[in-house]
Amino acid sequence: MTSEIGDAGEKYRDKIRDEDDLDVSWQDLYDIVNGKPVYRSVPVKSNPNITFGSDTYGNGGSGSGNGGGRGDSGWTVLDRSDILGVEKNWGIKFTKRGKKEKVTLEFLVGKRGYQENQDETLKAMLERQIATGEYDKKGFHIDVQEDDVRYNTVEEKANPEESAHFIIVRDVSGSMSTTEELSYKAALYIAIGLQEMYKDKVTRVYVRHEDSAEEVSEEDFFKTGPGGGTAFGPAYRTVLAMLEGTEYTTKLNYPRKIDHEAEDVYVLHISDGGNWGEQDTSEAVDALGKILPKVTRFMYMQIGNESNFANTMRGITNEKLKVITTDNEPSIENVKKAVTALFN
Amino acid sequence: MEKELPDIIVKDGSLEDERYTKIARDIAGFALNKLNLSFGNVEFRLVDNDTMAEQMALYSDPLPTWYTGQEYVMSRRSLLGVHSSLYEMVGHTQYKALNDKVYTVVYLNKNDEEHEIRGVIAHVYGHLHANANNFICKQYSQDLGQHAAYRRRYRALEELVGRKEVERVFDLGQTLSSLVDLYPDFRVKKEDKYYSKDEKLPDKDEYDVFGFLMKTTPMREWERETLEMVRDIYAPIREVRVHIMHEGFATFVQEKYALEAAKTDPVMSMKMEKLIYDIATPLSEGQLPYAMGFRLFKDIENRWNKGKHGIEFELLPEEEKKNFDSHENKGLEKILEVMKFGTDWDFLFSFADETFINSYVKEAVEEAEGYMRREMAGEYTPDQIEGILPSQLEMYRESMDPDELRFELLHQTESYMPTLYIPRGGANYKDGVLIKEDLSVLERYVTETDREKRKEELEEIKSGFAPFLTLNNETTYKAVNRISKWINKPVYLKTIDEDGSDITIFSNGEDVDFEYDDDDDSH
Repeated sequence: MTSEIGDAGEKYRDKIRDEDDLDVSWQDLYDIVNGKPVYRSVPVKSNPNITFGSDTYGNGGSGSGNGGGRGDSGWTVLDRSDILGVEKNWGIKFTKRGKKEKVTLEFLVGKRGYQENQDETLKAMLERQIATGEYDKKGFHIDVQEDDVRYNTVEEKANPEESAHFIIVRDVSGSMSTTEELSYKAALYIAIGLQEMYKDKVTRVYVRHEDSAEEVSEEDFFKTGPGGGTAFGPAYRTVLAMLEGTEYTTKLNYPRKIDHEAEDVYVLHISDGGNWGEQDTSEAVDALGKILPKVTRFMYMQIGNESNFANTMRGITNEKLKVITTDNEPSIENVKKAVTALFN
Repeated sequence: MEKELPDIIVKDGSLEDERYTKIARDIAGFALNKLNLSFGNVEFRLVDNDTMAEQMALYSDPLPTWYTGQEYVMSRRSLLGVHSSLYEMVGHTQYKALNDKVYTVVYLNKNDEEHEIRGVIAHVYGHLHANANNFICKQYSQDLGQHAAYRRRYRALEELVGRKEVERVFDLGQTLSSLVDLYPDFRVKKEDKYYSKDEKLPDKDEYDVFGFLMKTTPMREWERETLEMVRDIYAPIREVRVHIMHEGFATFVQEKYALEAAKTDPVMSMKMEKLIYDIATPLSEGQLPYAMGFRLFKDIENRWNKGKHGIEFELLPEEEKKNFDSHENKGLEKILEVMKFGTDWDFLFSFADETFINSYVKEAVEEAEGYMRREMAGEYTPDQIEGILPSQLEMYRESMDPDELRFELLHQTESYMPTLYIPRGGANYKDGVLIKEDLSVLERYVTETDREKRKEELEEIKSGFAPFLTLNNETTYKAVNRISKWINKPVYLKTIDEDGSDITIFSNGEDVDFEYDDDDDSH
């Protein structure tokens, strides 16, 4: 570091360790380790300002996507340090061959293929214009013809790395307003833990549901507050659609297709179990029956014992299915206890 | 007659890079004479990613603080990683540069290819013209020599009173740095009769809250000195109001140069064009200043070149409008005028009309379709793609509703930060200091003319905007608490809650709370 910045980097590292009133969030940055791109989460502090926005209405708290969730309404802070001390492996197994990866080989340029190479296309266009004398007559102009178009050739190869998907499904219906803090913290705890322990090996997928379900980004997932009715069928059908590559609602750019034959898939559903009753239960169980053969493990965490859905789930005999119930105490100890029960 | 070139040099280390110096001078000649720009001396420095990261950090905060360290760590990781590139970094401009032998230092990434460096140099001249001519940017030039002196002084104060002590005051300065008068032209002016002749502190509504608290709060001399440094280095925060215009104009200049280059080197020109459209993509929210600003300047140029503006044009039948061309050729002139006197809000309000926004959204949707097709290729069969794509595109289209987009953009550009003030006499409010949120900007949305109806409409508008304008949040609580602790008096902040009801957030420096107001008794 040069003299202009001096020891500012060291001051930053000290500052991160300080206990103060600054806001903390986490920022994911790429890094390269052993020639391979990986994510690294870096803590970011900021001084408080008088600023726009409201977070006093139980909206599930805000938090940066990958951790460092900051609870509102007096929620205790769940920090990355809470993950320390938890066992280093949550039993995520990589039993399948790993995901395929499409690699674009830039040097293989042909006339047919998946993706147009605009540079090469424009060069070919210009060469044609010069060769045919068109350039001398009209000067430079864009006039791409079919024969000018050049494509990148795409090669498929199996990625030898272990990989898995972890789908977190969270009930954000109105009935969750009293159990929301625990549900939020458990989901956040697992998201941080997956990132810490498995980094880029495990792809985290987020589905939120009330009486409808949708896939959302990590950031949106942790910003969602409770509201609306509850149905499990749409949530399970969304998971099934991801596994089968059929249409479902997503807030991301395009729907996901998880290759469950190549990758291990883990699903966790967190809810208070208060769904719409028999018809929805039947639809959910039906979808679950189609999900189970495709996944490595399906975990259901029910907060509170007021609903029978946990019992319904316990009635399904399948070694891939894990069902736990927990009380509504939102302490970090209870979160750890519930997560340990889920993974063991 | 051609304009005289300012002094322009490109350096690689301590040596001049003669080839790039010639290129930079040629591009400057084009920008000054063909586009009629004006800017002063420039020293381009070709630097590696590490130096670029350091300069980015010092641009954010020229003092050697933990915050600068954080910015350095972030930008270094980002630039050395695999997903990010930064083409240029214009150092703080010094306006003496226009008539004095002072250079604006610009950092260029030495890893870039020639077409990137050429385009970036043109882009930088656009920024420099904006800095030297726009009425807001002109006011907040920074003296780099002063920054270096601040750094030395900051370190000396650390030696003198201890690092943590100085850091505490720096942190307070960051909290106070947003309490400046960002929108003096937006709020509704109060008539003289509003002010009585009683002696009050302040004697009129004070919108420079940071400055007022500095003047009236007893503190040690080194604390005052540190806060003054922070106040000075964060003064350019006001330039946020021309961010869209700034990037849009610089990209516009960049494209003008790319088109000029096509006359002598078409392949280079094509590469420069591709770079422009990669950066100015409407698909990425973060690139909006480039994407929208650039396209809007192009639209203005086209309209003023063809005379497609004004009442006479508006009264023409739609069919005639399409092909209308009076060969007015005043596009460039108009753009320079807009750049000189405008802010982002004026820019969008005056020129981003329905036709423009619709065409922008159409382009965004087309790009989104291309992007989705590329991303899905290989994962799905062509039939599956055709089945999935329409609903996904429809969702994207809905998220880009033109009316909402225009409204959101206008709202964003008129509310980058809350407008806060200490009302007349507010320094002696109860046992502390009163700070109020000025919501008079909302009056521009009122359409009724009748006084009573206006009042009712304003209340409705207030409650509609309340979720965006309320200050009732945790970080505000912390900030109010900090300020109260510093001035050693209670602080009362009057704002609204997310339903539009008047509330007061108050702190005695230890605890913070809020209550609903019975009536507005600030005066």
